[in-house]
Amino acid sequence: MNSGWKKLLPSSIEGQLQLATGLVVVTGFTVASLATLWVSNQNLLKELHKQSQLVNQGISKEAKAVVELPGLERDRKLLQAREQQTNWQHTVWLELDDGSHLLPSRSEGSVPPDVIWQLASRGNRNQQSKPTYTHLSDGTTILSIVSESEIPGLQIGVAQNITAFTTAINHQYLLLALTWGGALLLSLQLTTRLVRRIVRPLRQLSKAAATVNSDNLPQSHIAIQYSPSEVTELAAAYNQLINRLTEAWQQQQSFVSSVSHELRTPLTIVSGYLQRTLRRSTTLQTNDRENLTIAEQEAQRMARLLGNLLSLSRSDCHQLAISLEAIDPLPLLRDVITQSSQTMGRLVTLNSNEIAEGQHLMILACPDQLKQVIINLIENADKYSAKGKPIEISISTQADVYVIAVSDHGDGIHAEELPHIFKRFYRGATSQRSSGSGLGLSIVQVLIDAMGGRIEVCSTPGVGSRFELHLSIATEP
Amino acid sequence: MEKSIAIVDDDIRIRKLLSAELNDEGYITTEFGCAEEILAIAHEALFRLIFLDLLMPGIGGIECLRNLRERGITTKVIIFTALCDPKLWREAYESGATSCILKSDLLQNLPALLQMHLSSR
Repeated sequence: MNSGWKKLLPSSIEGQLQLATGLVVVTGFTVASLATLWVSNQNLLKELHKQSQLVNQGISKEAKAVVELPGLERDRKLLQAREQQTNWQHTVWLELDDGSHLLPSRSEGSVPPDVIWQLASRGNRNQQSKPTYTHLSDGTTILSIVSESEIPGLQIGVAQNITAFTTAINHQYLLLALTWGGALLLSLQLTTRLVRRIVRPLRQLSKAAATVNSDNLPQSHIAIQYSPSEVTELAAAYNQLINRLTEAWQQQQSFVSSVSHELRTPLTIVSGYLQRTLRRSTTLQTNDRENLTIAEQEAQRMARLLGNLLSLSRSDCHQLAISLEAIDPLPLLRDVITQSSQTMGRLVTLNSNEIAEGQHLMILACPDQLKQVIINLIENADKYSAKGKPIEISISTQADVYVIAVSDHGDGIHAEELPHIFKRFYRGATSQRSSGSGLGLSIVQVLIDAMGGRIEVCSTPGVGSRFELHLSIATEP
Repeated sequence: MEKSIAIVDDDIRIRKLLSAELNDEGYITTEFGCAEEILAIAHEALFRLIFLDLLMPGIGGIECLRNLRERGITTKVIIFTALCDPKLWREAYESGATSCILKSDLLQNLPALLQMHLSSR
């Protein structure tokens, strides 16, 4: 119930302020108009009472002297007194207890005689001492009052033509209404301007806040001038927030970067000495050799992981500068396949049947990054495939695009998971099969994007997945 | 006397490892703990190849490389670093580096590198 009327209120600050201003203006002018009317009416009545009193005093004085005279003589004297009291402003008549009226016989004062006759013939005693307004058909307004005189049985009526006054009041009302309308319009316009002045920077702020991301953080400050101090303060606070965010973001980036660098040296040493020991030692037991091989492979994997992390952090800072060159992908693929087969103990095959024998197609890519991409895809396939299932890499061409596909016979990906697999730290539903950071595929995406390529996935749960890399074929030099 | 391969790196463990690997391959090595050391003798000693780290206290790898090239020393210089920063690598190539490689990839690629840059043993 309480919220019922609130729903009817305009939702914007502008609307609410306009409504409030409108209400204030309307109320203010209504009160002012009513007060003016009341005060002028009171003055009018006061004046009438005063006149009535004066007339009363004048007539009473005369009447005292003539009240004892015989009827006709008395009436003649009273009529004289009545006429004396009548002036341009008001008209006077007398009413006697016996029901007779002493009325003007011709036009006198400000009120026509027929109106006076009407007023006198009403003879309503209850109306005594109460002012009466009489509106005539021609627009004339008469204000009259009948009061007891000091002589018992004699009432004095005073009527005043207030048409000029009511016309003036009406004009005043019209003027007030016009002023009222004008003031309303003006105040609404002022409110609109004022509100826009407040709201524009707020809109700017909300627009700026909505578009902030890690790329444009340092340029996300907003400049607000000539705004109310509260808004300026808000903008300043927003800018400070952006500063702190930028700083935090840069710190995070440089942290990732420096940690990756710091870790690389000890990893090189660990992996280097392991390799040396494996190569040189003649006294190692088979068991020890196997263990050391695993340790060495893991050190290599960790180095790749660091590379991945760095690529991601660079891509976030737009520092992932990749220089493309025309390369023959076949030797690179063979290298990766040999290396991966050894590391994973799984059959990785290369199918190049679709490329004509002896046709050395070159593609536009960065060898290191492409290698990282293929390794990540093979590692991903390995993670989600049962032991012994092979992984197949095939190459083909589609128009001017070179397609490298990595297919597995693993768990596959459910349709609802497909949109998420390239997201950072996302791990598939079947990922309990093996451990992982959830970064591999997002790096593939980042690097392929940087090389101007495209990646496509098709997968059938329980049958396997196929990741296709589409890269540009380098035109013959 | 056979000319040696210079290794310039402030990390003694890396120097020892690389040196051991090169010795295994049959090369003589000379180790330098900082750029200043190799710059002090570079005008007289001529090396077959120089492995130069980028980040070192004092004179850095790039400055050292420029200095060597300014003195007319044309020995091939392989930059090896833990920093995989494309900007820095480009700068290194512009300053006269023969090749740039990540420390973590160095040992794996060492035979290929040596074959490429030292065709005559």
